[in-house]
Amino acid sequence: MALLEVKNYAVHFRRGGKPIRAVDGVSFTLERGETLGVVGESGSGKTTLFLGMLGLLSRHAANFRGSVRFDGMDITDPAAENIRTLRGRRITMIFQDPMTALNPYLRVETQLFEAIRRSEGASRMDLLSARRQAAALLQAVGIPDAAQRIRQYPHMFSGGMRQRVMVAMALAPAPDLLIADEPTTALDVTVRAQVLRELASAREQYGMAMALISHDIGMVARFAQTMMVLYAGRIMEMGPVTAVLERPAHPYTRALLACQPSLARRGDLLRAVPGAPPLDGAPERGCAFADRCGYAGDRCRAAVPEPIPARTGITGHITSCIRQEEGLW
Amino acid sequence: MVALDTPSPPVLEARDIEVTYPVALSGWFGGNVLLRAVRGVSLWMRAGECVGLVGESGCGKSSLGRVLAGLERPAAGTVLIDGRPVQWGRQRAARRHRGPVQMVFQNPYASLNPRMSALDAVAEAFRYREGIDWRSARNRARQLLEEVGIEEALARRYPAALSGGQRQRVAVARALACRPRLLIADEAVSALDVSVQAQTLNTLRESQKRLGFGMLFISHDISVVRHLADRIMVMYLGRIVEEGPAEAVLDAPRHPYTEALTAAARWEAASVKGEPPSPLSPPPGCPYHTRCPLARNTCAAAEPPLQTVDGDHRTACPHWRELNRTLARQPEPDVSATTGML
Ligand SMILES: Nc1ncnc2c1ncn2[C@@H]1O[C@H](COP(=O)(O)OP(=O)(O)OP(=O)(O)O)[C@@H](O)[C@H]1O
Ligand SMILES: Nc1ncnc2c1ncn2[C@@H]1O[C@H](COP(=O)(O)OP(=O)(O)OP(=O)(O)O)[C@@H](O)[C@H]1O
Ligand SMILES: [Mg+2]
Ligand SMILES: [Mg+2]
Repeated sequence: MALLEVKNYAVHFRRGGKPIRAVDGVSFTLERGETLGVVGESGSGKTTLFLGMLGLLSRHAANFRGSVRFDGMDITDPAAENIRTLRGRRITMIFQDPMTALNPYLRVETQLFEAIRRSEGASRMDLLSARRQAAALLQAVGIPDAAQRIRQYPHMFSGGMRQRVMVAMALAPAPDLLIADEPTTALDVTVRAQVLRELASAREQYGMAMALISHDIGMVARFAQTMMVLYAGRIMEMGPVTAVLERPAHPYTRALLACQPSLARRGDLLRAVPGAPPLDGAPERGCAFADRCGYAGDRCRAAVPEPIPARTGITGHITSCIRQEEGLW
Repeated sequence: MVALDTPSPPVLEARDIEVTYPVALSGWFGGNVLLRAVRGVSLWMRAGECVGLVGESGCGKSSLGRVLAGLERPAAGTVLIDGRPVQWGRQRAARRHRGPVQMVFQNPYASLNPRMSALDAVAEAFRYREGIDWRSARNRARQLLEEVGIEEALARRYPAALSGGQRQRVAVARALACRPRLLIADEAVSALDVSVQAQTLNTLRESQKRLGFGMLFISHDISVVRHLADRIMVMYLGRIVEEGPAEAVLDAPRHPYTEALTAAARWEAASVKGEPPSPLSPPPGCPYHTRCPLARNTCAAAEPPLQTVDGDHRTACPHWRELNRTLARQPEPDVSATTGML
C-alpha cells in the first residue's frame, strides 16, 4: 500500500462569480522513501495542492473534491480528527514563506523544542537533552554557533538561515512524509548541498517520503525519483525523472526545459515560455496548455484530456497530451 | 542643474559601512557579544549601473542592503544618495514606500500591503511619484504589471490570493513604479521559475536602461547575477573579498572563494569546503583561510586589504596569482558533496 494516495483531487477557489480552478483532478501516489519532484511555472498550483491536502486552506475560500489517503487512513476531510493529529508529527511541511511558519515572538529554541516534542516518545524528554538535540538540528543545517544562535528570535536570522530553521523544524519529529515547498530558494549552492544531504539522510535512515516542490529543475533532477509537471492545476506529465527529462512526452515539459538560464549568456534576453498560464486555473473544457501550445488542434480544446501512458512505454510515465503519438515534435 | 560637461555625482557612494548586532550569550553569565554582520564595506554606483552582490547565506548582504536603503543605521560609515547624506532614523513609513531608494525585500510579504490589491499598490506609487489621478495611475500600473507577467484579473487580487512568485513580481513592479534613483533588489527573483525569472530579469534590465536608476542586485546565485550586473562584488563573512567588472570576476576570478562559487554554480561541485565560520567569532586574518585551498600560515596573521588586479578589478587574496595554477593541479573537483546524497 502506498504511503500517500491522492485521487482526483481538486481545489477551486471561490471568487465572485467565477471559480479559480487552482488544482483540478490531480491523482498520484507516493511510496515510503520515495521523493516526488513537483515542478511547474509560478501560479500552476503547486503550493495549493499540498496546502489543500493538509487541510491548511480555509474551508470558506474554496471547494475541495477528490480523496486523499495517508497510510490507509482517509484524510480527505480536514475537519476530521486524524489530519490534525498527523500534521506536525507524521506529516510536516517546509513552507514557501518562512515567516508564516515561524512565530516572530518566540525564540527559535522554543519553536524547535515544540517540534521535537511532537515526535513519538519524546514527550517526556528532559530540558537538557531537548536543548542539545535542538542545537544539533540547527548545526546539521549549517548554522554556525548554533548553541548561541538558538536563543535568538527569527527576525535576527538572515533569510537563508530562517529557511534552514524551518527545515530543521520539519525534520525534528522524524516524519513519514515531508512536504518541502521551495525549501532552498534562499540558499547558496554549498548550503543547499548540506540541506539536501540532511533531507537525503532522513530518507535513508527512516524511509521518509518527500514531495519536493521546486522551480529548480536541476535540483529535482538530482534529488527526486519521480517528477510531476503541473500546469494550471493539472498534471501535464509525470514519471521517472530521467524519462521526463530525457524523453519528455508533453509540449509543456519541452517548453519548460528549453528555457533553462544556464544556457544563456550575459546580455542575451532570457527566454521565457511565450504567453502566460490561464488566470482562472484549469479551463472547463480542453487541455489547459492548448492556448500556448504550438501543436494544439481542435481536438485538444474539445475535452479535458485524461492522463495516458507516455509513448516511451516506461512504467509510470504518463502524459496528458493526446497528440503525443502523432510525431509532431 | 548640473552642466553637461561636469560628470554627475554617483547615485550611491557608501564608505566604510559597519553593521553590528548584539547577540545575547546563553549560559550562566549572560552578557552580549557583537555580531559584525558587515565589516568596512565601501561601494559606489553610477546612474544606470547594476552592481551584483553575491555571497553565501548569512554573509551580510541584506544587512548592507537595508543600510543603503536607509532602513537601518550602520555602526559606522556614511552613505550618500545623489550626493546627499542619508538620514537614518528619519525614515517615515511613507518615505520608505515612496522615496528615491527602493528595496524589494527578500520576503515579498514584507513589501506588500495586505489590504491593497496588487493593482492599487502599484498605482498608488505612480500616483504619488507623478501626481496623476487614479485612473491614469491604474492604467500605468496595468501596463507595468503586464510586463512582469501579471495580467489585470490577477492584479485585482489581494496579496493573500497570489502565489509566492506572483507576489514577488508585484513587489518588483511596485518598486519600479516609484521611479527610484537606486533600487535594491534582495533576492528579487529567487522564488521564480526560470521562465518567469527570465521575464522579470528582462523587465528589470529594460526599465533600468530606460529610467537610468542604479541597481544593487543581491543574490546567492552567481548565475542569475550574470544576466544583469555590470560589476560584481563578492562578500564573505561581512567583507568584500573580490570586486570588478562582471566578466572579469566570473570568467577569471581572482579570489579562491569566487572561484569556488562559480564552479559550484555549474553544479560541478559544492566546492566551498568545510563549515562556514561563525560571524560571532570570525577567524583571525583572512576570513576565508579556514576553507581555502591556497591558505598558508601568513593568511591567519593579518586580514588582507583589497588589492588591485587590474583596472577596477580588486581582490583580497594576496596569493591570487597562484589561483589558476593550483586549480589546474587539483585533480578533480570534490563532487561527493553533491552526488553523495543522490
Ligand atoms: N486564496 C486564494 N484565492 C484565490 N486564488 C488563489 C488563492 N491562493 C492561490 N490562488 C491562485 O491559485 C493559483 C495557484 O497558486 P499556488 O500558490 O498554488 O501556485 P504555485 O504553483 O505554488 O506558484 P509559485 O511557484 O509562484 O509559488 C494562482 O494563480 C494563485 O493566484
Ligand atoms: N536584527 C538582527 N539581530 C541580530 N542579528 C542579525 C540581525 N539581522 C541580521 N543578523 C545577523 O547578521 C548576519 C548577516 O545577516 P544578513 O541577513 O545580512 O545575511 P544575508 O547575506 O542577507 O543572508 P541570506 O542570504 O541568508 O539572506 C547573520 O548572521 C544574521 O543572523
Ligand atoms: Mg508556491
Ligand atoms: Mg538576505
